[in-house]
Amino acid sequence: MEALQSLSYGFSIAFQPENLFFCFVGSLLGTLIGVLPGIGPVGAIAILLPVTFKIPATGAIIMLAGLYYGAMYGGSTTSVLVNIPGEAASVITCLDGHKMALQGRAGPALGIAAFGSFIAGTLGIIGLMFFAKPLSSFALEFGPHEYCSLIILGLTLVTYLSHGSILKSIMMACFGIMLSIVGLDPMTATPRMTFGFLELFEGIGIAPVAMGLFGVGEVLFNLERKYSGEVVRTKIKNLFPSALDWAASKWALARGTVVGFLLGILPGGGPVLAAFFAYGLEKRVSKEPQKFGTGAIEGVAGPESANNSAASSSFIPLLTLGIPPNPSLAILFGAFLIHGITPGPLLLKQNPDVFWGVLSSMYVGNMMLLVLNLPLIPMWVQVLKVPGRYLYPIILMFCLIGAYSINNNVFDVFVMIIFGVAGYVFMKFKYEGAPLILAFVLGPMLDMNLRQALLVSDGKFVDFFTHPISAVTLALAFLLLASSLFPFVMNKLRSLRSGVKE
Amino acid sequence: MNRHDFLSGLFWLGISIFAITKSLGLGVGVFTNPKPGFLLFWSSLFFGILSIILVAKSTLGRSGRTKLTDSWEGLNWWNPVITIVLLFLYASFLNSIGFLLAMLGFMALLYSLGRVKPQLSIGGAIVTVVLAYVIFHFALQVRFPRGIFSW
Repeated sequence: MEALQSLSYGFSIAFQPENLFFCFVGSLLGTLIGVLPGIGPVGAIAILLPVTFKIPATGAIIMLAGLYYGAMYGGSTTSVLVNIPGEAASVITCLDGHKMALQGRAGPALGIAAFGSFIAGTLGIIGLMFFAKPLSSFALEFGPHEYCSLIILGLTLVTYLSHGSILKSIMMACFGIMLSIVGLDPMTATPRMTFGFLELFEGIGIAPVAMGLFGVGEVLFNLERKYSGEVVRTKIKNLFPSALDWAASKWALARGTVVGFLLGILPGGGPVLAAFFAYGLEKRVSKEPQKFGTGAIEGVAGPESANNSAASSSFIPLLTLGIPPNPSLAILFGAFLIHGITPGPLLLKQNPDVFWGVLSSMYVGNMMLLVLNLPLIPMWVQVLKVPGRYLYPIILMFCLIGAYSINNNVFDVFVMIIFGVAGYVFMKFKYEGAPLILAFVLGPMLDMNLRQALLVSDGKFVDFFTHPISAVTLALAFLLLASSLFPFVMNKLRSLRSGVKE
Repeated sequence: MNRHDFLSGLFWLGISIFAITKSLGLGVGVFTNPKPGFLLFWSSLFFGILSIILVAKSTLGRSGRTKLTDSWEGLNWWNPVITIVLLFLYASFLNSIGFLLAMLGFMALLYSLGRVKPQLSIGGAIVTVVLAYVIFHFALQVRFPRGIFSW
């Protein structure tokens, strides 16, 4: 009952005209970003972050949240029509979605993706509504040992789940922690690696780093290539799935929602992992697994519902624990701080208008996205045809303006450009920026909590294992690291055994 | 040998050594009393060890064989290089000549880099910059540097 009362309070905030407007703008821009290959939700949130400085905090977070889950909706459009995922979580939708489009079934593919996203996203928000308060109360029991262990688990998970080399991902996470140290020490006010720059006393800003790595870096990377996606030419009709389509996909939707919700909560999880996991699960439980990859509607319904459910549930650790579980929400975490709000267990108490306002706006945003996605598909198809030579300069312009507007200081522009070059080089040398940005955001919390924990426990590391929550969290982190090394060890043993036999 | 990993590993090793020296200057402290350089020292040390592993893997051929130029073969690598130069030039001249002129020049050059006709590049740059100025300066109250127009 209390949750429903709080929700109605949230709706009173979400339905304020200005917040409705921000929700609409965020959802629309998010869908547009999701449709356009090249710039993902991380880059979009980073690029638009400075735009939110001039608007009230609640409206800013509503807009950025709308952008995040809007991108999940939009990504499926390009996956189905062009076989190029608009963002990482839509990669798996290409497999069956585009095949359906080639068979003249683009409409049902897009329709089931949109409806599945709406249903899963709404159920995810309901889960968020009921889990948030108990989790916040539980999180009040957290001390420096628990926070430290949770951050370590988060960093371990994100490197474990990266797409490329685990070694390079761990290195990026380490580098992110090192970068986060720049600035005044919060305990002693000693300048750390500021090199005499006054602008670095508050540390390197999250916005220029994120805009550089994911905005400028992506554009530089794409400038080398010729955009070669071919939009499916068949007429898109029958966006409403038939009764047979619903019958075929209902269990995929249900499973995708649950899987996505659970994986979204985990640090390092999120929509990308949820989508891949859901596809694998559908293929495994299907009576006809051979039809996956040839245009199976379950291959669209499962991943799309999973990624939207995860997009909703990933707000749980952010809002209740103050731990962003993935890179997109790491930047959203930065947005909270910039607006003077600290996400975490006290958010519900200190800023209930922000918490319930954002949550309620997600319901509204989901409705808007369903309405936007279906009728506006022909418009998104036209947007896809805008050549890169017009689009990329505009994106760079937004980045340059955004970086300058943070502090009206050209120093931030230089920082963004440097990280843009770094992001481009990282991509060429197969390093991922996601572990870096997550570690960069979590680094200051890790520094503070680690030192406090050691001071409180007189330097005894064993105290991390005598606190139950900390012990369980560290054990999980250790198990994950060990399991990632397991295949390597087994291969080594096999090659040694075959060497001995010879 | 994987030259990408070899060179990047050496670069990161240099960064870790630099960070370790900085952390020693800040003071690392002990476990009972960690100082400002505590986390920096241990993370840089761990980072350095990982860099050495990366260099070793690349020289032992465990991460494949690549040449340095492999990642740029068949691609228009001059586009990002020119863009980077333009970005730095923009930032360097932003305060002195002002936002309008600096951005106009930047956009016109970028459009022409994309093989847009000169008239269209300049025209498109003017439209884009004016629109951006209206949105950001008047609607969002961003204070751009005026440069030569500051009277």
